[in-house]
Amino acid sequence: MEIDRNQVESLVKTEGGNLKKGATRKTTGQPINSRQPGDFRQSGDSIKPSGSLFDSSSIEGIIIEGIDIVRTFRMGEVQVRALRGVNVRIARGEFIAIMGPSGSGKTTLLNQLGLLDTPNSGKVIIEGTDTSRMSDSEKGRFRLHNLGYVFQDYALLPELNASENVYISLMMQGKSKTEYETAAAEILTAVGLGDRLQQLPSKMSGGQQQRVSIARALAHSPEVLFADEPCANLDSQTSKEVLELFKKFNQEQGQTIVMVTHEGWHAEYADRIIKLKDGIIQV
Amino acid sequence: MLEKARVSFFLASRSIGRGNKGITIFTVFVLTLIFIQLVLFSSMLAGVTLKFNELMVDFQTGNVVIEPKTEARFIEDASSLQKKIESLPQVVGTSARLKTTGNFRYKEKEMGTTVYGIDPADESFVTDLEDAMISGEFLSRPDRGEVILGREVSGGFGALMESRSLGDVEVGDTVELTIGGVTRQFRVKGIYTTRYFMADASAYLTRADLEAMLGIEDRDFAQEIAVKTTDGTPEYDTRTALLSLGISENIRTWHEFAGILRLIENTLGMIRNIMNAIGLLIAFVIIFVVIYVNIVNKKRQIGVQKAIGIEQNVIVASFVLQAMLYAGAGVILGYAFMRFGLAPYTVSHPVEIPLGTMSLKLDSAEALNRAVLLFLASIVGSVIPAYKLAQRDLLDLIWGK
Ligand SMILES: Nc1ncnc2c1ncn2[C@@H]1O[C@H](COP(=O)(O)OP(=O)(O)O)[C@@H](O)[C@H]1O
Ligand SMILES: [Mg+2]
Repeated sequence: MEIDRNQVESLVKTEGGNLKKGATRKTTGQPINSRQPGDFRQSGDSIKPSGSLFDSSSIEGIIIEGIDIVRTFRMGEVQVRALRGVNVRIARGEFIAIMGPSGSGKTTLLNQLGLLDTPNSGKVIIEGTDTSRMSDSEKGRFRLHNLGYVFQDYALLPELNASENVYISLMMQGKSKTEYETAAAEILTAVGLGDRLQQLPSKMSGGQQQRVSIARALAHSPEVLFADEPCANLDSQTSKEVLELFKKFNQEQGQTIVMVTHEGWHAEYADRIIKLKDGIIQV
Repeated sequence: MLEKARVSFFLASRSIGRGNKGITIFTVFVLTLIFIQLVLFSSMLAGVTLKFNELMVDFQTGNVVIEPKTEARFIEDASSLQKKIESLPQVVGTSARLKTTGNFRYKEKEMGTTVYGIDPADESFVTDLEDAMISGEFLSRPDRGEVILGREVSGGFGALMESRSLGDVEVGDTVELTIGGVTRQFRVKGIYTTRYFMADASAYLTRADLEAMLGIEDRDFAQEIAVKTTDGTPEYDTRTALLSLGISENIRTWHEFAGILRLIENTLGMIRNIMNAIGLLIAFVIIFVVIYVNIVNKKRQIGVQKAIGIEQNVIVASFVLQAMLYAGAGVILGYAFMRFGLAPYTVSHPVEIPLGTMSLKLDSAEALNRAVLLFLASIVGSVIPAYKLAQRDLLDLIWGK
């Protein structure tokens, strides 16, 4: 069954008070969870859409579903089929590791699930919302409120200090100065950088920068945290610290994490491994 | 809306505060130069116009000129009218003049010109002619058979239209003057220049000599009475005061005589507008290039900003704000340089021009107009590259070449 988003919205409206708490929120562009930044979610705290109104993806506990994702890149005459029909389901609170050889489509898959890219066909459903129907700016708003990213090379904004890097998205959300400054200080303290709030990225080690980037990704309590080889540029000791940080947020706050890695021992931190090869999931 | 503006401001301020200082300094410096370029020609033109006007008032018309009633050839009872006018507190002096055209001859050369008959003592209260003598002396009341010539008539002394002049007349030489069929010999008592060629193409006799030539001796006639008022008295007020004295002659302010000056001014004004248009185009291109280079360097940052959900228009606005802040700094520095540097310098060290000396005159309204134009150029020059870049696919921005 497939239902138009607007239709869903109107259904949600008409059913009003009879719906569960979670169903009253809009389907796009709004924060999925209404809690304050830094007030981290407890495991099992479920905000879920009321099943029957939505398509099959909104099965209890499923936060992201990728259906038949195909992503093809054209490089001149050559077509690169990075993803050839990928189906994934990720449950709320899961810590997933995506593994596979270089060029197997890990980053591409992560970008589709994280709404950084758009598949040629297939769809990504997050929290019951079919994101393939979203416009670019709706996706932007969705990312701002609901998703967090950790990139391999940290991707911090060099002109902003640690605290500013973390709170820029909260500022964009329209939070007050006190709110976002407090939230940034809290989350930076949680990643062990409470004493470096004012430091610029250029004055930090790779491990510290990656922790700032994790803090940035988590500051707005996203539904899902995406991390693309977050430890690729770090030595094993620092990698271990970062992975432990992930594990901590996953276990203590129930943070859903989707992480790409190609190191076996990194994957051991995850609950489940999705293996990719040549753009296809290996079973 | 305000929240978005806040983010744009925040990004712009951090970018200026923590970004490449060299680029900031260079951009502001270039914009400062452009602003100066935009106001300089206007200031020069205003300076030249001011000079023209000063020359006009100081050497020819005074502030206000009384002319014969319509259809009358002369002002009658000139001296009593002068007394009446001089009773006004704001009037410094009046000069009743006879004015006609005459033909000078010196050796083989001839030249037609305006000839004034003046009371030298009265004239000195109205114009600075006495101080404009470059050779010989100014007239005095008892002089008869003596003339003073402007350098455009005498020739020499750097006259602009040397070939039209009598050619190298010197003080002490005798020239022949013909007015209305009457010819008389005059000894050249002095030569003057105001550096304003129109005023320098005249000759002055005593009123008595000219009356004699015109055959109107002892009639107390005048063809114009030039009135000089204290500095800063508006001509309009003087005219009102004169009218309230019951003067029925025509009253004209000096502005009404400045027709040819207006023409010159308008011509220069057109040149100024063309220069401004070119200046703005250059400004636009430079701003575009500087902002473009600046933005291309930040491609990846823009991509990351988009990825974490910063809206595209917020990103574009942050670059536009940055460009506007650069333009603002350029305008302020350029204005300060002109207002407190160059303009005062040319007042204490005037620039030599054919008209004499000129100082730059910075007009605030013009400066404001140029500032607005520069702002517009900076907005357009930054919106285009920022928008083009921010619009691109974010993965392309982050990982693309
Ligand atoms: N933007 C792109 N343009 C062209 N080809 C691309 C692009 N992104 C990825 N690819 C290709 O898609 C395939 C999968 O890439 P990627 O998802 O980055 O793999 P992984 O992250 O597993 O190393 C590779 O063959 C890669 O060359
Ligand atoms: Mg990759």
